[in-house]
Amino acid sequence: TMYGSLSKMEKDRLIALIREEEKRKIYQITDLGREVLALEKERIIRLYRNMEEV
Amino acid sequence: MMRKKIMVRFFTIPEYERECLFLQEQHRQGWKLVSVYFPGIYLFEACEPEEVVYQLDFNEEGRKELHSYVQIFKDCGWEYLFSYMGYSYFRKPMKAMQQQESIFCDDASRLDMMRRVFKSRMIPLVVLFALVILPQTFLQASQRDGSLHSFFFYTYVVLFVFYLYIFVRFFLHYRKLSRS
Repeated sequence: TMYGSLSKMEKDRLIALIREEEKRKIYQITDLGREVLALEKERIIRLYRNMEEV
Repeated sequence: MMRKKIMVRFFTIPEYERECLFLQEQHRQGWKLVSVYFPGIYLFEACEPEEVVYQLDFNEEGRKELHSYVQIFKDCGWEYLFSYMGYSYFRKPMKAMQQQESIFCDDASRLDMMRRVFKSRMIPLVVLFALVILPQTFLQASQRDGSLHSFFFYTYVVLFVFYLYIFVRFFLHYRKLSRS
C-alpha cells in the first residue's frame, strides 16, 4: 500500500517527514534516498541496455 | 430509509481476496457494505448496482495514525468504510480506474500484510493451540468413559482439525505469495 511503502521508506531513511498539512504528511527525499534512487536508476538503465542487446 | 439485508459468511485469514470478491459481487447486485459484526455478519444497504472494488488492509500502525492513514487512501480515490478486527475496509468504483486496481502494488507488500496478520493473530492462536487444545484433546481421549467426556473429546477434535485447516490454508497462501 502507499501507506506501507511510505512508512517503510521513512524507516529506511530514504525520505523524511518535513511537516504535516491538515491530515496529510509531507515527505522529502533524503541524501541517502537520492543515492539509492541514483543506484536504482543505473540498475534499470543497465537492465534496459541488456534487453536491447537481446 | 434504504432497504437493508444481512448475510453471514466466514472467511479465514488468507481468504481476504475471496471476501473482497464477495463484497464486489454484492455491490454489483445493488448492495453496498455498511458494517461487519463478529463473527461473520455482513450488513448491506440497497444502492444502485455498480462495479466497485473492495480492498482490505491489515495495518495496526496505520490504525494508530488513522487520519493520515485514511487520507493517503482517500487521495488515491479509495473510500474508507470502517475498521473491523484490525482490518480496514476500502472501496473504489471501477469507473474511477483505468484497469483493475488494488491497494497493494506488488506481492511483496501483500506478503508483508500476511506477516502482520500472522504476528498479531496466528501466534496467539498457535499458543492457544499448543497450550490448551492439543493437550486437552489427548487428555479427553484418555478419559473417554462417559458421554460428557465424549462430548468434550469430539469438541476438541473438531477444534483441532479446524485449527489445522486454518494453519494449512494460511501456510499455502503464504508460500504461494512468496514464490511469485
